[in-house]
Amino acid sequence: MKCTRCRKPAEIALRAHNSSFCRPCYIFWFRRRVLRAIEKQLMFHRDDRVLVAVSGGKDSLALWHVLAEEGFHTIGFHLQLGIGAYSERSAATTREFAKAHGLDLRVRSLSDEGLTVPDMIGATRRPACAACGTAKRHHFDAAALAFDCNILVTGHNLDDEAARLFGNVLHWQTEYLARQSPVIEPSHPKFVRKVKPLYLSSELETATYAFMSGIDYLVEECPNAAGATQLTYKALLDQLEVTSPGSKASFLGKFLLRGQACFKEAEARSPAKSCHGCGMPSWGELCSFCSLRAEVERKTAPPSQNSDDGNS
Amino acid sequence: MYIRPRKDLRLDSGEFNPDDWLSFPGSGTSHGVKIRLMPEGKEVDVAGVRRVHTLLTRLGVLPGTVLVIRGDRLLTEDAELQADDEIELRSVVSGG
Repeated sequence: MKCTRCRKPAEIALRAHNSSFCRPCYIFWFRRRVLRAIEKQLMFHRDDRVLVAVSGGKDSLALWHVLAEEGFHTIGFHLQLGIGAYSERSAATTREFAKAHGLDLRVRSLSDEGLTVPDMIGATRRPACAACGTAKRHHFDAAALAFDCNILVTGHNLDDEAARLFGNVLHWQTEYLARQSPVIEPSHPKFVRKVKPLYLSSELETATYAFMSGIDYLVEECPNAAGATQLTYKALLDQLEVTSPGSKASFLGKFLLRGQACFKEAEARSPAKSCHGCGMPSWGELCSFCSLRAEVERKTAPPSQNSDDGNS
Repeated sequence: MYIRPRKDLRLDSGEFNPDDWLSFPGSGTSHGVKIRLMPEGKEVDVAGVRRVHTLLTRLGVLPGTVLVIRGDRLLTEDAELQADDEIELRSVVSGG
C-alpha cells in the first residue's frame, strides 16, 4: 500500500478517508486536521492561554503534543483520581511526557482533599464513570480559573463524541443533545470556553499519531471502565464503521450540522447561583461535586455517639 | 506446489483469500507469528497467516480498533507477515 500524498510505502490506512499515509505525511495530515478543527469551530487563537486536561492516555498527550508543537501557549493539568496504582502510573506518564517536552504541568490529587474516586463509588450508588466525570469537570473548571486560562481543552475524540451522541439519542436526552458540541461557551463568568479539538479525529488516528510521534502514553485502561456503557456503544459503532467506513464522522458531523438545531430550544439556561461549598457556579445551593462530597461524608460518617436507641 | 484457486470463487466476493490456499498443509508457506495483545499483555501464537488482514480475521479483531505494530513500525492490513514475526496488537479503544 502506498502513501496517498507521496507514494512511499504506507504505514497506516484510513478507510474513513479512503487514504493511506507514510509516517511524515501522516503526522503532517493529523496536525493539519486538528488545526482545521480549531479554526473551523473558532475554538481559540494563538494568544489565548490554554489549559489542557491531560490524563496520560493517547488522546490528551497527542493533543498536547500537537498544540505545543504548533506554538500555542499551553498549561497541562492532571487530576490524580486516587484509583490505586493505575492513577500513580497515569501521573508518572504525564509527568515524564511534560518533562521530556519541556512543558508546564500542574498536578492536583483528589486524595489531598480526602475524596478519591474509590471513596465516591464506595459511599454512593453512582456509577464509577459518573462520579469520576463530576470530579473532573469541577476540578478542570476550578483549575482554569486558578491558572488564569481562558480556554479549557479536552482530548475527547470522534469515537467518544459519536458514542455519546448514540447514547443521548438512544435515551432522547434532549438537553444533552442541545449541549453536545465541540465548543461549549461559558454560561457563567467563572467558567471558561471548553473545546474538543479532536472531535473529528478517531481513536485510531490519535493512537497512530501518538505512536508515530514517539509519545510514551499509558496503554493501560482504567480498571473502573470495564463494562462501561460507553464501551458497548463504541463496539456497536466500530461494527458499523467496518461495513460502512466514515459512518461515525457522518453521524456526528450531520447531527451538528442539521440535527442539533432542533434541540437548542431546550437549552438557554445558565447556573444562576454560587455553590455554598466552593463558590463555583451552581444550579442549587451546592454544585454537583460538593453535593457528591456531602453525600459521601453523610454516608461514611460514624454513627452518633450520644444516641440512646432505647438501650438504657 | 501451486494450487489453482477454484473458479467459482471471485477475488472481490470476500469468499476467496489467498492465505487459505497458500497455507495449505504441505505448501511450505505456513507462518508462525507471535502475537502480543495489549493492554491485556496476553500472548498467542498464530500459524498459517501471511497477511495482517487474515491475522485480524483469525483473532476476531475489527480493523481500526488496534494498532498493528512490528518493531518500531505500524503495519497496514495488506502487509505481509514474515515467519517468526513478533507483532503487537495494541487496542486503541478507551473510555468509560
